[in-house]
Amino acid sequence: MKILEVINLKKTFKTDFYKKAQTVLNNISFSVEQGQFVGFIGPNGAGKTTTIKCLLDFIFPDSGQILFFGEKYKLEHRKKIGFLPERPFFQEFLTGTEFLKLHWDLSKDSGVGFLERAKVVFELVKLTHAKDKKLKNYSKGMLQRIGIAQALLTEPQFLILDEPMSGLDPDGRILIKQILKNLKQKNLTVLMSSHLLEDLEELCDQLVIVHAGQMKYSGPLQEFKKDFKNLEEAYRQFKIEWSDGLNA
Amino acid sequence: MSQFKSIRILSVLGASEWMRLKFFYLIIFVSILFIGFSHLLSSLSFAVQERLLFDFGLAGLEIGLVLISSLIGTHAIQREIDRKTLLVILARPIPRWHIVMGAWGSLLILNLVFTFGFTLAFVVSTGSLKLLPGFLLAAGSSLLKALVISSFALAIGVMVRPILALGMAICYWIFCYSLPDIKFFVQKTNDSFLIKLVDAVNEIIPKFYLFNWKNYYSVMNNPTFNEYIWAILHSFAWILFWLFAASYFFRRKEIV
Repeated sequence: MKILEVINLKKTFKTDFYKKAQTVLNNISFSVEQGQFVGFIGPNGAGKTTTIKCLLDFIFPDSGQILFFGEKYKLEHRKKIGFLPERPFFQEFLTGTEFLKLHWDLSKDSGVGFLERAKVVFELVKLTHAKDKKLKNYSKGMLQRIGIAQALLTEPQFLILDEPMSGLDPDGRILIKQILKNLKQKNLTVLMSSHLLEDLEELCDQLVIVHAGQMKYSGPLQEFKKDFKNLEEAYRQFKIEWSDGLNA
Repeated sequence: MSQFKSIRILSVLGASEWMRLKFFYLIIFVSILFIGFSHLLSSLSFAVQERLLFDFGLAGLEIGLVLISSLIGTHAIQREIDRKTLLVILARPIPRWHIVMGAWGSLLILNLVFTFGFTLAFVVSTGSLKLLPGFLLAAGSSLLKALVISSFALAIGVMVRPILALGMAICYWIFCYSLPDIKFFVQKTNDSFLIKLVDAVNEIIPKFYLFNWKNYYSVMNNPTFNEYIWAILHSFAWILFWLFAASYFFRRKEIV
């Protein structure tokens, strides 16, 4: 079953009214099947975050289609989607539990079951010891983990993570990677953008690669790197070819 | 999910966040200064001591309310966008207009807290507890105006940069008061086009000058029930108009 289908997504931005519109996404198409862990790769400015923002209706594509669970995107779909933005910033005056309660209340009709679910996600992201601490006292890694906790809180069918490991120290990165591995074992469908190829190689089974707003690859990870030692080497080689193509 | 639950949650969240900022305490401090100044100023007069005291104190209340409404109103949503706290909230199954209503709800809470706090402090400091109902009615008229400014500030705040919106909100407040003065001067010019223009503008802006009750006279001689109902209906019609505009523009705003 297709959880997400992106068809010919196009997006242009105009920074000033007198300037020419800049194309940031040009015919992006890919799909995510149920249970897949999809890595979303591309250099800075390639259009990863813009694509994710289009998926979640934060910005509106000029053309193209986005289908969630086989339907056009609607508000109800958000109940089935968990999202962690890049470099998340949360309401610092709330405690971990209050923060999760806020997101529970914004998603669910009643508070029934919150405490049980909060206990599960706190354990999953290894923050049980800090659940009553204010977020302003959380480290960057802890904030990233509470971000994952809020994304998982309502038991989503599909998780979208925008660079969940950026800027973390090695310990934080290892911990997040372990959490993501656990999610993979539970067969959760995940779309994760990242620059950390080594981590993606460990976690993902599918890859979507964008470069300068253009779709470059969408398919199994193994196929992409089959002629190379690892993902990094394959990516480096292909990137040279794509850049040459752009310059030519 | 109940329509009002998410609005209530966002209102309380917004209000508790703004109450923690130094800015809110600065306004409270300025208001306390106003109460102090009103006492100081009134002590200079023998004949109209009470009048100076009430007029100056109630003006302080309205200035505080307008500062809260315009500053917070213009920054409420843009601040959340800049800090990216809005992203995780927008990813929840709530329509965008709930976020606008939540921001307005937080302004309502802040304005209510400020109005009651200031009025009580002022009444206690002047020792005129028996005039409390009159003071509350006068403060209520300022509150209504502040709520109109809040909704205007929210609407403009989602369209243009906050600093420009702030200037526009303050100009709007001044303009809604001073139209009769503008009309007076325009009539002196005998320019029929300008007179018609001012008459037309007069029809399409809130008429704050018709319920300007933040003064000694109104505290001593309360406005009639009908006048009060008119002020409430007039204000809420404008509030709804601007909230609708804010929701409409925010619906298609790109959260980049």
